Amino acid sequence: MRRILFFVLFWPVALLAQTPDPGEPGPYAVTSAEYDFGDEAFDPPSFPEPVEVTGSVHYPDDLSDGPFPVILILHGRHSSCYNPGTGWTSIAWPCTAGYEPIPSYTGYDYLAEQMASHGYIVISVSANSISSTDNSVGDYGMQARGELLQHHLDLWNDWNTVGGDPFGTMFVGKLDMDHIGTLGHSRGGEGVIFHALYNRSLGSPYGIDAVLTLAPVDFNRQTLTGIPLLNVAPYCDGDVSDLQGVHFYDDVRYEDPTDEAPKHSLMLPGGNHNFFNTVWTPGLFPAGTADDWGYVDWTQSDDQCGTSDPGNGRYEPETQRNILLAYASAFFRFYVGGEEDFSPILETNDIIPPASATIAPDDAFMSYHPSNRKKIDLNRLDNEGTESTNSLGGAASQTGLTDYDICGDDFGEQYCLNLGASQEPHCKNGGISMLGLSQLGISWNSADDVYDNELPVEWQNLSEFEYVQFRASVDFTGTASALDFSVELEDASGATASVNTADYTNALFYPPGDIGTTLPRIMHHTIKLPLSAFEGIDLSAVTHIRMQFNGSASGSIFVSDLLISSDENVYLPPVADFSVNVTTTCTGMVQFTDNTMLFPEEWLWDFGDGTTSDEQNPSHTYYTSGDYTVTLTATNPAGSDEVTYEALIHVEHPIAPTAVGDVICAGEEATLSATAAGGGTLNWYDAPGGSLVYSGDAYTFEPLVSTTYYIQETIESPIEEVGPPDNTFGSGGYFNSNDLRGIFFNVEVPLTIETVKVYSNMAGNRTIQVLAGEGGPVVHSLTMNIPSGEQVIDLNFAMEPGDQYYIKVTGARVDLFRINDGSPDYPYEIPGVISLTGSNVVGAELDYYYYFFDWKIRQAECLSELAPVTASVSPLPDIATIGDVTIPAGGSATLFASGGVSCYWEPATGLDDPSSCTPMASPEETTTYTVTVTTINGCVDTASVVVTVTDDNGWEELQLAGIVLYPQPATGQVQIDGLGAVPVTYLLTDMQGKLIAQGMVDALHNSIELQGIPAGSYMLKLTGNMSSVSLPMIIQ
Amino acid sequence: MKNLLLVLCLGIVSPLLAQQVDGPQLTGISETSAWTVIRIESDQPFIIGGNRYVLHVGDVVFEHSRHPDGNERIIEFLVDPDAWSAAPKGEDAVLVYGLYEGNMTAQGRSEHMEGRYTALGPLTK
Repeated sequence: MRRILFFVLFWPVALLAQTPDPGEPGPYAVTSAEYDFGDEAFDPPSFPEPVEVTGSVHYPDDLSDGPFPVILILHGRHSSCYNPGTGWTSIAWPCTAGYEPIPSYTGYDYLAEQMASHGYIVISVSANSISSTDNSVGDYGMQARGELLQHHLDLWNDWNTVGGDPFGTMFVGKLDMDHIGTLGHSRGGEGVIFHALYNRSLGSPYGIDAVLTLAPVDFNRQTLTGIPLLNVAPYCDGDVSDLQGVHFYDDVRYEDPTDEAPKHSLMLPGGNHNFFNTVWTPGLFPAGTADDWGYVDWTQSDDQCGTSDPGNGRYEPETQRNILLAYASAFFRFYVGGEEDFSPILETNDIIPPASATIAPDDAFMSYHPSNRKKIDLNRLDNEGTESTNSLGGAASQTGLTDYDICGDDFGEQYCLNLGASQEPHCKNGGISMLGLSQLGISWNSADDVYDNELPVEWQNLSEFEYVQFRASVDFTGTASALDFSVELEDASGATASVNTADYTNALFYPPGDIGTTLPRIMHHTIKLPLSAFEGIDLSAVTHIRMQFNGSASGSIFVSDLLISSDENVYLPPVADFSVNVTTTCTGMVQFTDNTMLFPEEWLWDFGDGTTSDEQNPSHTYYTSGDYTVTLTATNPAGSDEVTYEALIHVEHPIAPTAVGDVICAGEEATLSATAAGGGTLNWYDAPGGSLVYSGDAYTFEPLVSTTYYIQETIESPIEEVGPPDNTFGSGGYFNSNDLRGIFFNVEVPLTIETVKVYSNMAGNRTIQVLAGEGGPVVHSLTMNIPSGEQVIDLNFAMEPGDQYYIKVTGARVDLFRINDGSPDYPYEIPGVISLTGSNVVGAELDYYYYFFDWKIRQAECLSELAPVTASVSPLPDIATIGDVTIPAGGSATLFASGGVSCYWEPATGLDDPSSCTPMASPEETTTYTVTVTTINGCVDTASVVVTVTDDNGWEELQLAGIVLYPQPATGQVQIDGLGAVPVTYLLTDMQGKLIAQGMVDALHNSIELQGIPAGSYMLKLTGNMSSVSLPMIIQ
Repeated sequence: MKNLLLVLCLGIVSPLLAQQVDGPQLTGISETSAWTVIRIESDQPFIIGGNRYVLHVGDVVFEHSRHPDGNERIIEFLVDPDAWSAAPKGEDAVLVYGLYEGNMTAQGRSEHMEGRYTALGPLTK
């Protein structure tokens, strides 16, 4: 069948096929087998019916080279059974009498054999049961498909580790479960997306290296980051005729700045939906086959896709399978098998189809979105603002263009041409409320017309990069032919160089076909121009990148994803940025989120209150009211960048409590107290941000040392009520038809939904969920047993500000009361806090009120500033005394006590001055004196001194009255007069009792040298055999 | 003259009717406490493929369906009581293979009907 050749200006001679052909068979001989555990062998948790566990496996005949990487294939929705006699088909499951299963899973055997010949174990899974029932399930069975695939991998993991029926130990150690690629066709395409996400939710027990979605649906608009993706979009798909699978590529491009997984999309101008599967292809299976293009073109007359047109562009079925063989092989052998030779095909460096694809050079178009490590986005064209400012912060502008407009970026302009999703597949598809591709529409009619993007100084050095690339499609409503234009670079010296796009691409073809509301289509394809082709340009100082429309005299295109890329990772300094969850707070608690581009590895946050953090996403508490400037410095091996937001955080704490401290002596109890200014709860912490020590208004404790606590008042917000208080305002009944119904609500301030009231028909478990939008991610999920009757149930769902939250009951049991008579009075709201806006009954959103009455909500509490309060502990006196002394009867001794500012001796008997710290003691009998020493802070302690009185006959050597020390004060030496001939010992101590010097003195040797002894007050104790005397002494 | 007018009308609308399919007929509406079942039958099998049949009734669309006993010539739309109550009375029902945004409004359906569709006439409740 002849094909219509696209009109191109000339063929890009430079781009000859250079890559090895991935579609050639490999070196292994191949064997296959099947397994079948029955038609109802597995109950997917997300599906109402049991499903079959049936599959085929193709593998290298010689398994000794294993373990081998794995490919897992999932077919799409198709008739499940057929009658061999009549050829009639059925979608029942299990098959009824006279009918046999249609083995859709065997329709990819050609691919399985090819991949197995290259050393892969290829498993193809049957999903007829899911096809039979999935249209009645909310997500069309996608989660169940993921669960089924995971079940098969679990089986294979068993066969790979311990073996088992039906394979015994044949596959033990033969599968590399860390390197798996998945391929899903049609609904199986969305199924493998769900599977990858499901596997990830389980902790990634299996390594999914690559996901290929083949003519998929995308009913649920889930996104898969972090795994290389290839979407195949057949232009002549009459089944999924809006080519929804392009959203798997488009939706995920900018979702995660750390995503290093590349995205690919392959458009096949002559491909349909069914011919990828031999069981679905007319002539290759006796029932249930069709050329799906006939669904939208029943006369098959379209000049591109209609098979009845002799000059059409359709592939023969075998050609279509050859294309899949070539590109799927390249994709899996590169990303799963690590064969880097095939990267040029996937990265659009080699745009010529492999020879094994058996198609013309202009019969396949690849799009490629590089890893974030291999590109910088010059202009994402993802919102209206990019018409004037590009993604690097430089100016975007146009000259002379007759159309220059971002479209597809908001619900008011969700289509660029208002032709619908079939002709604008990149735009919003029907169903879920989610936009499609934002793109720039450009029209020109003069060679002087220009679209320009300026590069800021910090981004002008492109020497590490290799390409400028973008995606584009000819706008068939604004032109009648293929198009060409130039791309020009200008450097800082003013030098310019340009390249004709037609030298490097055939993607600017006029979209073929013309049938009803399906063809032609706007399909974006990558155009990639090597920077080396821009001769004479200083790539270290590129100031402008322009599209100059000096090729075709006039034309219209749509453009997306203008970027600079490289084949290898490029290490650039990060571009710092961050966001916060609140900018005004009465708690002082702020969550900071790093949004830095280009792979930062270190972070330094300056919160503006004197504190810092090196975490990536810190939470921080401001304890003092005020406005705070926050700076983030992000660093990676290539450099660092800093971003500052002035006065970003406004903290307005309630005033601090009034606190009263205490001053005590060691060993006493301290009582600290505080008064709450706002009537809230007082919490005591051991440090700002420290541990909670106590709650209350007075705290008594026995500190060992001076201790400071920080008191903060927590002012709990009052309970507020929203929503109808009960179900008596209208009429209705218990709803149990499905788990899709619920209520939308908006939240404007952080709050907690503490309780709601429900009316339950029957007791049983319900799962209550809050989603970020109907069909969106789950924010909260709570399963509880709800008894019958009116019940108040605890939810305690903490909510951040946001719109279009959706609360519902999910799962098998709902059976809760709802109002359905139009009586609800939406919105139910607390202005500025929360608003319940309506139900999800399309066309009657305000007429229904589902399940949740009398919401009790509480806004986030406020925290006051901290009030420090201290218990000051004064030490007790450290008493030093002269120690015990002995005097003769009638004798005396000078007592000594130190460590405070005052002393008092008891008993006073025998003391000349009981209030002196050095009283003269001359008791008549042995007496124990207790001295009470008081510090300057009033702390007291006691010590004892025993004065022992001997009889007169014991006094021989010493008589205090005759002992004289001179000079006083002494300098260098002191003399002692009044000593007898018998030597006595002397002890010189300081006032704390520390021994300074000692020795012997007598009448002849009566001096003591004092050199080296510091000036001060001392005690000199002279001790004989029977008595001793102590004399105060001053050294000067 | 009438024939001329008819030919002219068909000529004007024929681009819109290019994907219209005859055959499916609305054969019954039954209500239970849990569901309203809208039954559509055809002498030819409905498409069993990746896409989904939807039933537009005015600006409301019913998305979920089944083939009872696996019979590909019968499709039943399962509508919960609230969606059924919200559906407009007396509006024309249009069965479409595929859910297209443009078909969600009467204007869209009249000016740019997408997909393979069958007009079933008024959905009498």
